[in-house]
Amino acid sequence: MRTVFPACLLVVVLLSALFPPPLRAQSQDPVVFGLIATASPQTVLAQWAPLLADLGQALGREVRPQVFTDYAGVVWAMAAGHVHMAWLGNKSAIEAVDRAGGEVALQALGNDGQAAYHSVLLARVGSGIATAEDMFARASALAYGDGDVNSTSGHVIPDFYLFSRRGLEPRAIFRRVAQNNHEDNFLAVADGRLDVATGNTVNLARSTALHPEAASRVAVIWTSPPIPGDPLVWRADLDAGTKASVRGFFTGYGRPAPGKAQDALAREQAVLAAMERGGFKASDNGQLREVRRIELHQRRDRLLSDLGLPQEERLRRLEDIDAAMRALGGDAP
Amino acid sequence: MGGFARKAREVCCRRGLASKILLPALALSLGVGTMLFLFFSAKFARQAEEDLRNRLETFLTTQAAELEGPVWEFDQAAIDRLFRSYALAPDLQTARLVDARGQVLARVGEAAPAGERVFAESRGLSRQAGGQIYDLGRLEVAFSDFRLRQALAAGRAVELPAAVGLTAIFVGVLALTVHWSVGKPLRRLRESLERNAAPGTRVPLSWGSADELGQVVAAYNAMLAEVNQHTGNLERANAGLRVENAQRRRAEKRLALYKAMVEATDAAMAIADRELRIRETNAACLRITGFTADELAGRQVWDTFLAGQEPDQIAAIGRSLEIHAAWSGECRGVVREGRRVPFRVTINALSFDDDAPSHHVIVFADISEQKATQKLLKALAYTDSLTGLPNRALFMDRLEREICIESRHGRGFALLFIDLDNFKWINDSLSHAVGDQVLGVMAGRMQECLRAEDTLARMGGDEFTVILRETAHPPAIVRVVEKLLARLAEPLSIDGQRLEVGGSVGVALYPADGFDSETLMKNADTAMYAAKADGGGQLRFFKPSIAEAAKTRMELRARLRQAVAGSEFVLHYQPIVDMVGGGAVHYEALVRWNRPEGLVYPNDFIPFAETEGLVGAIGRQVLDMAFAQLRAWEDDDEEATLAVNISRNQFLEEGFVADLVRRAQRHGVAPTRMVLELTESLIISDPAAVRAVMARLIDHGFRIAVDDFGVGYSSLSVLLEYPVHVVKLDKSLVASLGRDLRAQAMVSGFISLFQGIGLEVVAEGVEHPAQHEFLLGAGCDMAQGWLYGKPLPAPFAVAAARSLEQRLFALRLQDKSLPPRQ
Repeated sequence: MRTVFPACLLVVVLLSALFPPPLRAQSQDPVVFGLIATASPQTVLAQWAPLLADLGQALGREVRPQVFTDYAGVVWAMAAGHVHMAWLGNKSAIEAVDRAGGEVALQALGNDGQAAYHSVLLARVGSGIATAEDMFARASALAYGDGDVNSTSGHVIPDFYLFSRRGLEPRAIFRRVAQNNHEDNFLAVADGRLDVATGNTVNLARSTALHPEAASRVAVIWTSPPIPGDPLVWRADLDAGTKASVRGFFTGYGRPAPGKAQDALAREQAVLAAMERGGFKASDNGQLREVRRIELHQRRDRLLSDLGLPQEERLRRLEDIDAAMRALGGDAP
Repeated sequence: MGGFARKAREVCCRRGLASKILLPALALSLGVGTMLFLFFSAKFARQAEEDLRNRLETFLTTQAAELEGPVWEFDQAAIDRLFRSYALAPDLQTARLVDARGQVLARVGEAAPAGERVFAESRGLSRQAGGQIYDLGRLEVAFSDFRLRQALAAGRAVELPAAVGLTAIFVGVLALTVHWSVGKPLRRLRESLERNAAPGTRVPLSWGSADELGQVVAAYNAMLAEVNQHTGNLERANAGLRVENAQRRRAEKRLALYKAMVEATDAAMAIADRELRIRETNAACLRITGFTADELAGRQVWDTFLAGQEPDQIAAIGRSLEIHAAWSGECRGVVREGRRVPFRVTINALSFDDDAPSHHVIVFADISEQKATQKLLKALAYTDSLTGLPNRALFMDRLEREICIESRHGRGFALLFIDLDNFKWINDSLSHAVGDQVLGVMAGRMQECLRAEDTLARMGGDEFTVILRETAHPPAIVRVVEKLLARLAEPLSIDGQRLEVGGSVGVALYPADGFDSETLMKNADTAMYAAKADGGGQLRFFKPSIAEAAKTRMELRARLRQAVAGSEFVLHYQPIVDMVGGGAVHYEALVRWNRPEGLVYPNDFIPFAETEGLVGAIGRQVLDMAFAQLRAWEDDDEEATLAVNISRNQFLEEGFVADLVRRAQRHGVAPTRMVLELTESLIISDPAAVRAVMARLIDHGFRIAVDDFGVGYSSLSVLLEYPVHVVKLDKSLVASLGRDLRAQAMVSGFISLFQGIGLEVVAEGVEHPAQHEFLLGAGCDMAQGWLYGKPLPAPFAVAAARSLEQRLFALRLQDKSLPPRQ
């Protein structure tokens, strides 16, 4: 982590120096593709580089990847126009749509071909923590590894299902709470620096592949209901041609298509496999409904358990939340 | 007015000084204090404001840093948490978080009310990421100075009173300091100046301090000492002068006084030189001598008012002056017209400065009047001023001389003691002036009857004495005295009132009745009393028996007084019988003096008691005994009445009736059972008074009897005019019944006459049955006498009366056996 973060910064600084931010994406300008460092930036960059190179080739424009160590950075960069499209989680996608003029364009599929994946809670093998109940029973003695607040699987989902539904606050019940990306959390649990940490099935598979020895010391003690697959968000003001090209590229990637050479197809599938991905399918903002609802519920729960809030403020916020829920339609998850 | 003005000026000055020092200091201190207070207040306020701004800056910086993360990460919950914590920020008025698009992410607090100062600041939030700086939004914070102002106000609430208090203390200390170190010392100095300005003691001011005032006081004290020294010298000189002046004035005053005194005095004064040549004279000297001052001046006294002195006398005076420097004595003087005048003269030699006498002071007075007075006094001493007769002193002197003469010649003489009869009555009932005239007339009459060589003198009161020289032969004396008595008994008229005065004369003979004047006088006096006792108008020669009788009288007087005090009187009761019904119906109470030697009858002591004034007391005792007896009889159902004799003095005593009634009530006896017997002479002695007393007695129910009718005046008019009930015929009338037929006719006439006018008649002194017979026949109502019973003590009297009844009964039976009398 200590070596990763300065290096990450260095990359960011270098990249931003090389490419002064364009106010508007132009066809001749490179397309900046934001990435979130769910693992170390090098790992993420290494995973995505072949795909993005292919995307650049397909678009006829340079596609420049940019890795952000936190989810909010991608959103802010997209809002500022420095990033034209980005691979995000559901939670950060919501922020990007709401605040950065983003639009959900595609959804990643698992290597099993499914669009859904799961949040997990990891614990050390042999720590005696085998279930979430074990964890709560000993919470005051445990160090808890949370994810980024804008991470869907690392924070929002476990927080919703495990804590806010019970009226609990991780910082209030655990001895210590740390915030890491998925890989760091995984490694910390494996090393015993944390007792329990969040993660998701996609990242767990990838980390297991990367660190098989560490994976042998980590056990999943809780698995969430399915979470929609990670969305790819682009700026809504991206020109339609580019949008179509990008969507076409991703939906067709790793899939046979007329005119696509067999070796090209195999290479694409190899790139996807390295990413633990099964491919992409087209999607839109509706994909976020599920997580929005969860988040609204979560906020509602928090609101109701917040005794310090003045009553009228509480009512006002409840009204806002309920209005947002009605706008979403459908029921609570 | 001046004092008041001065006082006012002092006060002004004192105030002025205090003001001069205090007012600028106070004004300055107040000004500086106020300025300092305002300055520091403003400074504190600025400081506080600066602090507030710094706090705002710090708050803004800190919170911007805090908020950056949550805003970056869209962590609304964290933002809310932070904003809610701002509620605890004490100075915070409002805070607002606005994102880059102008949307309010969070706010807290409310806008400050108008009038409050608000310090507002804002801070942009940004984050650098990926080589880009992102504007995250803006934090706007407003701090209110409310707390600041509150603190300042609280501070002022403490500081202002403290400042005022400090100022007050400062002012007080300053005022006290000025008062103690300037005002008070100055006042002491001023008071000392005022004190020392007045003449008298100048006391230096004791001073403790050595400051400027101390130096002033030291100089002042030095000046005081100097002034004191000068003043002392002046005062001593002044005092000497004053004393001298006063002495001179006193001397002058005394001189004037002496001169006035000398001029005013009645004593004649003259100042002469050593040869007795006259230099000065006073007014009295000129007045007495009749000379003028010029006539006297320069002449010797022997040539002027002391002219004609015997040479021996002049020589004696000269010697006395030589030896004693003074002479005093009587001198025959002479006045200008030549008349000789007796002078009392005092001469004193005067010498000045221890030299030989150079002057003489002659004081003399005309003593001719004094001499005349002496002569008169001498005469007065031996003369009775009222009658001009020799007085007792002269008479005694003459008597002594006569005794001396006759003790040699042996012829003897008579001493007469004359007392006027009735004179006391005249003096008391008429007046002393009348009495004095009577004395004068009587003295003249007596003088007429005596020879020139005899001495008539007045001893005092109505007593006169006479020395009949060379007359010891009683017949001769009797002749003289009878002439004298006759002359005295002649009626005389004073102020148109015809008076009758007599005299009683006692005679003592020398040497037969005494060898000394005292014995003679006593014996003559005794003889005179004997004459008086015999009724007056008489002559008595002294006899030893008379002296004896006098002695007896003296003893009797003493014993009678004892008897009155010791209640030695008893009552005996003599029955008065009813001649018709028989039996004793009344008793007459008769007083007896129960002496150890035997009973004394009233005739032997009542007259004497009357002259001694004891009869009233005796009478009261008698009345008490009588009432007590009546009471006793009433208790024994003895229905007798009782007659009591009342003497004149007793009857006319004031309060007699009231006293009688009181006694009757005390004993519980009805007044009707008491008969009061009065003599006829009593009734006519003072008709009006007696009538009044009688009327009151009768009003009370007493009965009145006229006693001893038939002796004296025997006035029928008394019985007619006065309200009497009973008349008692005197025993002399009854006694005469046996001898005289005319008496019988008179008695029976009286009886029928009295009964005719409604009186009861009691015959007294019935001793023989014949008298009883006659009286019974004459119709007399009642009788008393030895025939019926003598006076006896009560039990015996009653018993005797019972036996009497039986006797009378027998008598009546006897009567009936006899043929009726004519």
